[in-house]
Amino acid sequence: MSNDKLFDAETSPLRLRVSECRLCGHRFFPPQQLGCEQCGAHGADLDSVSLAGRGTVAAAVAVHKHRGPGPAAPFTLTEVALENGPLVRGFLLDPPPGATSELLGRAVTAVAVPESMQGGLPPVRFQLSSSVESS
Amino acid sequence: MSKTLGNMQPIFVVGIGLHPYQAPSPTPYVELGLHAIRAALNDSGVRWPDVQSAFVGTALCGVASGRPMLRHLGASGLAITQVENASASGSSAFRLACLEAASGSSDVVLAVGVDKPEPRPDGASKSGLVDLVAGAVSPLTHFALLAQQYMDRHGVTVEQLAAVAVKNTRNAALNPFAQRQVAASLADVLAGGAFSGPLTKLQCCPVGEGAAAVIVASEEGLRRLGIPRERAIRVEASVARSERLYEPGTFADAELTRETVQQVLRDAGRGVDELDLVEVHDAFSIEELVYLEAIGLSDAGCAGADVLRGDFDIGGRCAVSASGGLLGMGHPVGPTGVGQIVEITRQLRGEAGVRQHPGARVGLAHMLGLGSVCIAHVLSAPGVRA
Repeated sequence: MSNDKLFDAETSPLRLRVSECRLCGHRFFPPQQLGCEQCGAHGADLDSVSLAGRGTVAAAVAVHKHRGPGPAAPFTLTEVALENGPLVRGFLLDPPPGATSELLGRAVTAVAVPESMQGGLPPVRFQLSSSVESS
Repeated sequence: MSKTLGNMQPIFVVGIGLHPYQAPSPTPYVELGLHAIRAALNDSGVRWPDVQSAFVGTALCGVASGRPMLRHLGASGLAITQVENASASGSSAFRLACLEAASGSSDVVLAVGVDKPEPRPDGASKSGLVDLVAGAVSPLTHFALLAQQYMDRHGVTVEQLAAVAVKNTRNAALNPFAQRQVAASLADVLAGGAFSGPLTKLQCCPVGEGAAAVIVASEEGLRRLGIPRERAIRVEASVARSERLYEPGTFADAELTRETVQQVLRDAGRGVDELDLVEVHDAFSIEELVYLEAIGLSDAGCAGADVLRGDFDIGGRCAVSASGGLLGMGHPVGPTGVGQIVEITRQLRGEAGVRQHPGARVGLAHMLGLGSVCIAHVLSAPGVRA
């Protein structure tokens, strides 16, 4: 199986798909039905639930050197603690100038990028939510 | 009931050998590996026909790399097993060599690590799962994200982070087998801008080529071949684990390290304060800090200050990365874990020359492999354990 259903594009604001285990309640991203990392339940025991694409920045770094798959540097990566959900890593769209360490705790929202602007990257990025401080 | 290495028959490292870790060259891996193995045989006095089994740790050499190298020592018919466990390939090869000797199915076993930097796709990239980062979180950026959170949480400075690279390149400059031969100052380490997050070039290990080999023998092997005990280094314990799910807000690689090291120290019957020497998986400077704390050598958030104060220098309270570590000696992948055993053996024999840590009696080797997996070994000097 693949897990290409990562988000609900038709909703606004965008909602992300995570898996929730019916047996142990563990929530994780990316969603899949191969098996729960906490208890091993699989298949229909793993529900796909949609969560608001909102969270706070747990970490964010500017990447200036990168080898391997993915885009050429520079880019900014962030680790987001989703509201009521797991940690999700994604690209940060339009990072403000200054140290990325100042972004810790800031609220972010998942946004879909039009296909013409994706540049071979996944269609969903994170963006600072109207500069609302949340910590 | 499962057995630990400690309650099987005693196992010893009896020979060590290295090919210098270096930038990629046209030298084939076969020559790198043979150089290290012949050095280890020579060091041990063991003849090749007496080696009954070989574990070849390599992540990048490709399928069936063992026999094209080992046949040049004489096609003795020994058992050959290739071991791939990412950065921990060499550590796993060493562990399997110890366990095979301890089981009694062989009494003299070779563990060799060899690699050349030819990147290959990893398993996760073939798992069929997509996410939002498309492979862009390299190990460098994974640890840069960790570094930022750690520094923010504990108020750790860029200087404290950089101090790891200053110490490890200083040690490496005294190690003729190290890839980085120049001791870097704090200014050198902080120069040139960051590669990812707070991590600068000299806070990232060089991935080059090289080879490391050790000959392992059981008590029976020592007797059969008349190997002198004065230079035989006891392997007290060996533990391998993999990542579990940990509490939110903790660092998985640190938690994995904590439980693996706790178990290996328990199996060895030792406390953390008995460690004179530690070689850790310092692929990035931040790793040494979080692993020192996970091992219990520093309080939470204090490892950077402890490094700056010289606690972990050669001659300090515990010599950490006396070889230069991955940051200084280099990380050719397959050899790295075996190379840690080489350094600890040299130190516990008192043969480390200008890098000798005074009074070294007990050493810990710690490696992580992508994924993550963690392998730890405790070794002790002759006479420390009866």
